[in-house]
Amino acid sequence: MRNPFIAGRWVTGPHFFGRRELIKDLIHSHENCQWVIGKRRVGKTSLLRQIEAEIHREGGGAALFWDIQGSYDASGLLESLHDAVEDARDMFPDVWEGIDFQPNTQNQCHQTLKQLVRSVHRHHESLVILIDEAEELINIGRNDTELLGKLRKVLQHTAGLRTVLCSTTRLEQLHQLMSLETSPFLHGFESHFLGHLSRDETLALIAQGMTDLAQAEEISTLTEGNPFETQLIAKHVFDNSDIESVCFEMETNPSLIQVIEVNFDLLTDQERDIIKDVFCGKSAMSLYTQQVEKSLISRLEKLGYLTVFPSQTISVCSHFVRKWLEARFDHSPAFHAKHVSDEWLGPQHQEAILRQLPSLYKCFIDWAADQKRMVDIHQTFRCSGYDGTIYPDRDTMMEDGDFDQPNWRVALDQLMTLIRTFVQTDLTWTLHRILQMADDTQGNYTETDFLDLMMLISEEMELA
Amino acid sequence: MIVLLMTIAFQSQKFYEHYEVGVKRFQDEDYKGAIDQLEKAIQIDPMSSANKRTYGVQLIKYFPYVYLTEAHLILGEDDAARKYLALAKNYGEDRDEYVRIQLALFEGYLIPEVDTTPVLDTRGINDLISVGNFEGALQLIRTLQKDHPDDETLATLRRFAENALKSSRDLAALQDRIQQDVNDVLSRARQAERENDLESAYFFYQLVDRKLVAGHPEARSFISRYEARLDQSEDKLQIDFLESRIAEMESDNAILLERLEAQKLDRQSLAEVIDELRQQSDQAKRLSPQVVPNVTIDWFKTFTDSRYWFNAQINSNVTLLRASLSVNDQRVGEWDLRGKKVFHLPNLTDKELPVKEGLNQFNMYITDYQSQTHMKTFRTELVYPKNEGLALAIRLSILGVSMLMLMAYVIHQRRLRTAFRERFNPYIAGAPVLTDNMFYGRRALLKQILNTLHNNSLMICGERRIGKTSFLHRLNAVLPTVEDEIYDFIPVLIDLQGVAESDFFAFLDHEITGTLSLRGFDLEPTPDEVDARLFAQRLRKAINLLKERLEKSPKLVLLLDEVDVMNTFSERTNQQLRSVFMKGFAQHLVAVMAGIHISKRWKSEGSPWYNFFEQIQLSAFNDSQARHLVADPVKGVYSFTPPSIDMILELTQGKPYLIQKICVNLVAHILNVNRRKIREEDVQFVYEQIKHEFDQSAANIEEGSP
Repeated sequence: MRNPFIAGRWVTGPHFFGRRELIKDLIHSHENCQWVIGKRRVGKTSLLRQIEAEIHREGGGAALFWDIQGSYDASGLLESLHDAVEDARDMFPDVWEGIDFQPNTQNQCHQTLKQLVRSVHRHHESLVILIDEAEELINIGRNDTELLGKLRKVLQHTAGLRTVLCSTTRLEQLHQLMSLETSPFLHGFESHFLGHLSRDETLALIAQGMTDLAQAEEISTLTEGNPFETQLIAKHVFDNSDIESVCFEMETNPSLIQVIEVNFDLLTDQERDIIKDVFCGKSAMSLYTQQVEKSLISRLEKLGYLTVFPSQTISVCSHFVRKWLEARFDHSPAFHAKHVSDEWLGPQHQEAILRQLPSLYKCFIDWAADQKRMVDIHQTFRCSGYDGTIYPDRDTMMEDGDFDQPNWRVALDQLMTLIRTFVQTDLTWTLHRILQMADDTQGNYTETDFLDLMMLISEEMELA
Repeated sequence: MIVLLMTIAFQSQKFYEHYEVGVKRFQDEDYKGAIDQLEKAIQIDPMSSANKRTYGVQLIKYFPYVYLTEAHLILGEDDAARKYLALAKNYGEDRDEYVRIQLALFEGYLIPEVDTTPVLDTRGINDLISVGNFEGALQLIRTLQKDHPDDETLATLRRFAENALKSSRDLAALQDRIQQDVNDVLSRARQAERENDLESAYFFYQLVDRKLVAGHPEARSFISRYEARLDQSEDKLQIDFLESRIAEMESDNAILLERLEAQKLDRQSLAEVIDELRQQSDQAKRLSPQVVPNVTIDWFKTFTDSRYWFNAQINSNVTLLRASLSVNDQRVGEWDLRGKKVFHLPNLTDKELPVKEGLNQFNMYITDYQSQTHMKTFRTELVYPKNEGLALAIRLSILGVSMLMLMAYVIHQRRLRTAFRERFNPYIAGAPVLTDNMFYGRRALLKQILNTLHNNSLMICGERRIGKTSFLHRLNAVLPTVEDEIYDFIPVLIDLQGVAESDFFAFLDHEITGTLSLRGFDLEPTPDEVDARLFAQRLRKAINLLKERLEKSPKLVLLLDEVDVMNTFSERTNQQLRSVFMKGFAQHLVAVMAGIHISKRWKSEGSPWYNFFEQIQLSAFNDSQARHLVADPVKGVYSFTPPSIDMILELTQGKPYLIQKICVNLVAHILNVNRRKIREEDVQFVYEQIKHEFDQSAANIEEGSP
């Protein structure tokens, strides 16, 4: 049997799984304009392609899949519309070949759209426009603000025309942030979230190429219904049934990491902080008291970033995202979530500082590599009230430097600044050694000496 | 075993004493003993006969000469075998059908005598020079000069090698100096970019692009992005600011500019050095003896299972291109011989060939790499035995098997000799591997990809010279042969190196159109200008044509090499390419891309173009794969001692290019010292000579890392 899993292009027909309720809603809704929001690789294009196929199969109407990515401006948008019609004629000749639509290249996009609707109505009751990669509207709005208004008018107020638009959360954020005429564009659109597949849908997807139920359950548990991850893992397990080794391999798979990174970048700072908090262990719903936090959690759940269990505990969705977060936290303390209630770093945190010396050192090394150093320790680091992690505040003040020393010595100098304020304790010896190394201008110590010392401190702190 | 089978075939009866003992010893594979007895037999009675009277009315077949021929042949005593073969014919042993076939076979194996007068062979020197190993060449020349102290050619070659060695060292030193400048200016540019001082970064990147390495990818990438930004903003103030900043930078960096100006002279001398090397190389070529193509073909014919079997071996002293065979003026087949000097024709039977009873003419047309065609004719008479019974058929089968086994043995021995004589060296260093027999280490990955390619597009990433291009070439060769129930795979191999963004879609279209037309799908020629939309329209047409004409569902596989060039393209162009894969016809389209890394700096709001490709990291070979690549290509011709293989693996770290590079030089080296076994000290010797390649490989990793 050939590997049936598809982890790249859009799928439709027998390869498409789940989303029944949403498709029914989108096809039969009385709303003219609908907006589906989902993260990357969650299946937005496949959803639109499936709707297109089902409308044509059911008859009575025509659907047009319109990918506007790369359109850039008004003329590009018009070209992509012409292209979409050609594509539809090619894919669904029974429905589209009878439609006498001769695009006039002199017309603007909104006029062409009207002309198209009129042509379709001669043969069919309605036309459903399925707009993919709608983030491109941001570019178009930047180049031609009026066009968006005209387009919105046609999409929302033309009889017999319905629109389903797909994008990531980016479109929403950007139209809120930008002072463009885009904001009214989305008013009147009914929004839907496209999240992960349910457990049964995930199992059905896996069953197309796997008969071992236990294995399918294991994949479903790992991916928590993320369609891209499920297809990718199943594709690899199909070739190598050792699920443990595949899982290990996938944790460093560049394609998967890339998608996780891109999806994380789509979020706002507040949304990212919620995810980081949940990951750090703030995983009971009752710990989130503010309404804004609760609504963010609900939204992240619908988008497939978080899972809220009936027991009201929350977890980050999918094993692979958790692994990625783990690596990011290990790599940099700057990744920690920021809370205004967290204390600025002070002498009271000296034990925590010693425990986290290696990660603070990494942070200083990164800055030194970028020729940066902190300005004021009291305005640089915070200590998390929740898990005691020391992290640089997002708005950390830094100054440029032109260091004539190796990066490790710059970082050591910074650490020394951090702990100079310590009161004398049992750890005096350790502190003394660090200060000695930092003050040594004769070059008696190497980075290895310093790393050994830090290792020793870390071990001592663990024992304590 | 051969003899045992032959004995059964002939159902030997009791013989004349010496003859009987001789045959018995032959059976026991005591060929020397057999020769001794058979020669005694012919001293007493030299006349062969199919019905030789022994005692009383007892008659036997008495064919001592055919046994003597075979025994000497097996012992490698070709001269004696040749003498007895002639005698076997003189005494009419070939009137017997079986003996006639045997003798014809032996005749085929016995090559003409070779002139053994020692001659000066400078091919080894030319081989070393052609791979840039001047030190090795010089060493070899010195060794040869001990035996030929007055040889003028050697003296000239020595002068050339000494000059070339000096020039190559000068060249390396110059390149080092220029590379240092590039690193210096690039680091300044990067630092300025990091500090968001884009005007200074622009100044330094311009220096790299204009004064040091024209078209440097990183510099070009920044310059085009920066200029695009300038074009977009059309802000006069910003342009003025840039101009004033550049003037400022020029005065701040006067010393650097002065140094680069001075380096100009160095670069001119670099050009002169390169030119000089080229001239010297031409001179060396003129000194090399002109190779006169000598192509021979040996035909073998056997009769077994009531049919004639034909087999042939082509030998040439020059590289061949192709061969085609006509039998009785009817064309019957063509073979691709690219890169080969020796070729074994597959077994052909009279059922597949337009042969007739009686005289037949086989014409083989062999084309060499200079496009010179050599016609070789083989005339043969076919006689079909009438009323042959079952017993005869069994005998013939046994004889046929014996002959084939003997033939295989002799061919193997001969191949060894020929390979050594022809300086057989199958390793490929530098150029992509195009043939299946040299494709090592990636078969599991190839299989895995073939199993998923119908639905998935892939991106193969890996450092320089790790085998990405070879992998794409293999896919290109294998895909048309995949027997799939649903799909017909049509690969199109496209090398994007040096393609400008403005020509990108036209170039893709041109390559697709060209490949499809070779397969008989005629499309309209590519227009001069092709944008993304026109490309999509034409691609749709092409796929529709494939759908009409092919029985199975077409799957057009774009094999895109050197996709790093796309890192320098605007995000819009990249998005437009992605958009092609979102179209309806994309069900019939997949891509496999290969490059060092994809730039992840993605600023557009839309989906990154690369996110529907699954990335596959192509890494160095593991221990087992590397061992196969080292030992298998020369199996049966040369051998490696186990420590030498361990050493190669350790030095090359499993990198296929370095393995091929060291092995190609190792084979050249042992041929020069007239050995067949590669030892640890050979590896050490060759490694010292090509160490710079290993350093370069390490530098490539540094450069290629994202």
